[in-house]
Amino acid sequence: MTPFSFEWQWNIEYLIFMGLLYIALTVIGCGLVYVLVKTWLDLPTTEKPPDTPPEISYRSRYSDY
Amino acid sequence: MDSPLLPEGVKRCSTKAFFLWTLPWLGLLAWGALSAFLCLWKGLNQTNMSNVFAFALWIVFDLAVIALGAGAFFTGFLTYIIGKKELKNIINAAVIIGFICYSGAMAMLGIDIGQPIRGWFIFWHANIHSMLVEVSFCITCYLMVLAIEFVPIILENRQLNKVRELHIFGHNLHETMAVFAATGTFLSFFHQGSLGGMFGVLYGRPFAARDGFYIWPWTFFLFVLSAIAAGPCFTILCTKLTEKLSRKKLVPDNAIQLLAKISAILLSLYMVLKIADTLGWMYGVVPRAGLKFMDFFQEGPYGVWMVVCEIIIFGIAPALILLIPKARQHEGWLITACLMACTGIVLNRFVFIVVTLAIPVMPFDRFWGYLPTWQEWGIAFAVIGYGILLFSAAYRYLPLFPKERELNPIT
Repeated sequence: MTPFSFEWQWNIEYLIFMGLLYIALTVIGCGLVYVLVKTWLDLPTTEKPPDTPPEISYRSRYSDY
Repeated sequence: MDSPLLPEGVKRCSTKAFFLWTLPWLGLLAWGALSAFLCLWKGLNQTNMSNVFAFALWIVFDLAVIALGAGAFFTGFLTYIIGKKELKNIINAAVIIGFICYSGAMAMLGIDIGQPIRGWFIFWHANIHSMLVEVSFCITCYLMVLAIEFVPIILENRQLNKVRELHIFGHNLHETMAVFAATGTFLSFFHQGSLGGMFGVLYGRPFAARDGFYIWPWTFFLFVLSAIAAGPCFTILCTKLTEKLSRKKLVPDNAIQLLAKISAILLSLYMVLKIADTLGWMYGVVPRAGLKFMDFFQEGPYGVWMVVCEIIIFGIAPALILLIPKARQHEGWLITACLMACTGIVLNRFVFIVVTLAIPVMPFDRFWGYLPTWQEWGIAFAVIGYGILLFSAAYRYLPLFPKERELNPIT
């Protein structure tokens, strides 16, 4: 139920009951979005695992050619 | 065959032995699937529920597993909010047990409502004065929280952990777990309480009705307290059972002893308040309804022995055992006390659900008996089968107990 539903009533009971539900959902949603964004931002900064093959040096200079 | 998936540095049984172990539980799941199919296809006439017994075996199971699964939120609260670092060695198991309990309860409710396709009505056309609506909101949100808490444990699987993106995602989830643990604590407090409050406000049924504080009957607080007392006992029981089956030590004693001590204090407090509540009910609610205490125990199999069992044998006795340090350090006594505490909570939920409905209210009413059908048992046992399968798979493929390698070095 949202404030746009026909059953909705603008009184304190509805605001507390549904408000707490939406606060809980918002905290869960924001927590997940934060973790996803942080993971996205951490990806370039974290080191690659040591088992990846070393990059061939001349490939890094392709952009200079 | 599945050795690349097993955690590093620990010993597991062969794939064949694991497959044989899963067979009985798969059998329970098959029985449950057949029962669920019949209930969904033919309707709830497959059960012995009626207009009198609208709450029956499934709700007893639901309330019992929700109370026993409270170890997840309470251990999470102690670990991430209070900062009890010792419990990090058992928190993974507590989270998985909680997830099993809540997802099992939700699955059972999906059949219980008769038309799962209309399950969303409770969220969209919510009756905000109903405690059951509050329970539905909270257990749905809390199941989301438990799923989020379960994800980093899954991502620690040996193969999944090699994927860099998943590794970082799991690490970041761990870092923010306090936020989810706090949300879970808030949600759990209210749904555990509202499950109790729902019975306390049944003013037309003096067996369950209670006085209270403001809008909350005393059962609201007693259900929260009983759940946080018995939840950790169930976590200890599951851990000890896993240790016995795997013939290994999985959790350091300090974590188990801390949980047992906290359980002991909470169970003792619960018993004091439960006795006060029972006396208040006997000398307050019951006489005001024009009845006497013994009027409730005239017919049927539910006698005063249930009160004695609930309060003395499965309440005071385990609380005393767990309170005595020497007794709770003895493995046999610890397991016995935890088993008794869990039995007491299941009995408490049974009394509030089934006995409340069975006892006649009006002078022209009669005592109603109820026995579940095989379809009802099938769905209830399927939850047990599902739980054992999921916990076994989690133990086999995930580093469920962080100290396992240290406590059981492979020679």
